[in-house]
Amino acid sequence: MRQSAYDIVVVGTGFASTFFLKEYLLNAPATAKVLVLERGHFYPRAERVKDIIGEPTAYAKLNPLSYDTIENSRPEKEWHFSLGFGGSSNCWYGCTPRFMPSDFRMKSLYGIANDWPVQYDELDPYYEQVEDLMAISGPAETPYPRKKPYVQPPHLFTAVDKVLHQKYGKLYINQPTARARVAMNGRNACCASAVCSVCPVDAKFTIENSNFGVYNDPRVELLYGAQVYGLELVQDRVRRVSFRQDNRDYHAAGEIVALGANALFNANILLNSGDKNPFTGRGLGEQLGLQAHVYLDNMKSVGGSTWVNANGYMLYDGDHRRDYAACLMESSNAPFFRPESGKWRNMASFRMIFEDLPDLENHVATTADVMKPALHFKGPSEYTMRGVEQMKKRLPEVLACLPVEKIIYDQPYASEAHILGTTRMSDTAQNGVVDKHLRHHQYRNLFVLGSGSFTTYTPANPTLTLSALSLFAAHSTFSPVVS
Amino acid sequence: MMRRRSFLKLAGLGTVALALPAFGAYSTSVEDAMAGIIHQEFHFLKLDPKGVRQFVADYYKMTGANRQFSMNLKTKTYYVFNINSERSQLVRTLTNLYLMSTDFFQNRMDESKQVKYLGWYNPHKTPCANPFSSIYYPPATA
Repeated sequence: MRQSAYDIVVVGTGFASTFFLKEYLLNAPATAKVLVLERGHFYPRAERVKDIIGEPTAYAKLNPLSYDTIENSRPEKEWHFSLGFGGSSNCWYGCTPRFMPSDFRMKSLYGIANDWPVQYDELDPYYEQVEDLMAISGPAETPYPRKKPYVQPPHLFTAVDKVLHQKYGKLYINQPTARARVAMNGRNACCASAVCSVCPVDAKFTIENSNFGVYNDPRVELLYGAQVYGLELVQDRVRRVSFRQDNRDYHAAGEIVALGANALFNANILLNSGDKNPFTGRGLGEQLGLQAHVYLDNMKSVGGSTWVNANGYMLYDGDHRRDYAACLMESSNAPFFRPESGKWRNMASFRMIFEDLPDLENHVATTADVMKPALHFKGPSEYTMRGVEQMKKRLPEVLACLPVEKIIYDQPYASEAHILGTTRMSDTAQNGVVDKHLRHHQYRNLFVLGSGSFTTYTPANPTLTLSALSLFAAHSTFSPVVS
Repeated sequence: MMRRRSFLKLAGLGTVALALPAFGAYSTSVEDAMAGIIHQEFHFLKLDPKGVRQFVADYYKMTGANRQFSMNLKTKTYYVFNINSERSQLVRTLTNLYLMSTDFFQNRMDESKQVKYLGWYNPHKTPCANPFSSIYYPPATA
């Protein structure tokens, strides 16, 4: 550490921290002192590819494996994330649909869970900014309102997608995605290799290829191998951030502190620090997904240009959400096939993704090891499981415009690789941890960023929204225009 | 009316009768069982048996799955009872991986040609090789 006190201390270098910091730096004076604490190390994409293809790389052992960093009380339920510079941008698959306006109003529309304190219209300009910064590829029309076209043209449909789009219009669209359709900003075009966690051709947006310049900014001091485990909380303020680096403990003072680790570790840090908000660590959750393989009579599903070509909203929104979960469809373009002579691709495959509800029993707890949170998750809610049942009843009708022979359902995936809840957003401290600007209700110089803040768990992928929330929080707090 | 106890006795005998011929098959190695699953799934293709064996060896080297007792039991059971990919995700994953590791798609799915194993399928080594993508099925131009 070059200083003992900073204007802002930011924890983590994933989406949430990076978008927050980008907006902060835009508004901060040239003299601002910024400390970023990253528990892992920089592991370039090209080196990750080397490791995957079996070539030696000195980077391979720098970062711990995610499952070594947690105590999972139910190991069959997996929690996927990536440690190191750029966080889970190094393992995400680049799906970037917005949430629907109704997703923010589950209580007032359907009597389910709670409304978010921030609403779609308020977030709209920040969605737009994130989409531009990530150079998102997407269609002209979407089921949620947008004011301008996506930066990149849409990915190509398969023959199956074309039929569904013709039938359902803007309820069946080319997936908005951070997997580039055309080369742009130093990224190459996606070529549907379908192994997006580490893109072999660097088509996917990551913090590493973002060109934001955030971590090269002269005001920013970035420390690697610095794992935060606690905050010194005094008179409703955070005074210092405690971290361990090379087996030594350090304490950095910050006027403002922003936690941008994931929803497991943000909660662990708060609980270690003595945060008594009854919702801290509570409500751990995510969506549930399963694959539906659809055999087709004399129709081929070919010609898509990316891993997921399309999103279907036919089972998503509506009054049914009073009783059972919304379902988002992803039209897969992985190299799946049907093992029958002459019918290899007479088949479509959809990932069916269901929303879930926050449940206080699902939670993060501290352990004897301050670095290691324990995860307790009892499983998806009945609301979600009813959604699965109803989907199986309704899907044949939804796909009636296709020559369907049969539908085969897989067992649910062990994870959707999203970690939600644990520091939920609310109007007051009586029903949540942070306000709509992601500021802790009690410790007002503390931001708790990321998808831990989600009030409810829509089926849509969370990254775009959590990034927009970071921009919104930083802009609302630091922009002189807003101030 | 058949009493419950009589029914259970008969059902038990039936199970034993079914299991007896299968019992011998359980003594086959897990490697042979996995190769058998692949041959059963693609019975209508001309597979190169040596290549299938090599794929199985590579599969276990890469995944270490043969060190798990439950996985070995599952593999043998699927082989013995001829469970195909419609009924098992494991079989689907395995057989998909095998065929992607061969020259079948390079040969444009020509079922008359012998299918040869080329080496472990690794899209990071050979990206853009998705045989059903727009690269191989470009949009029709006007």
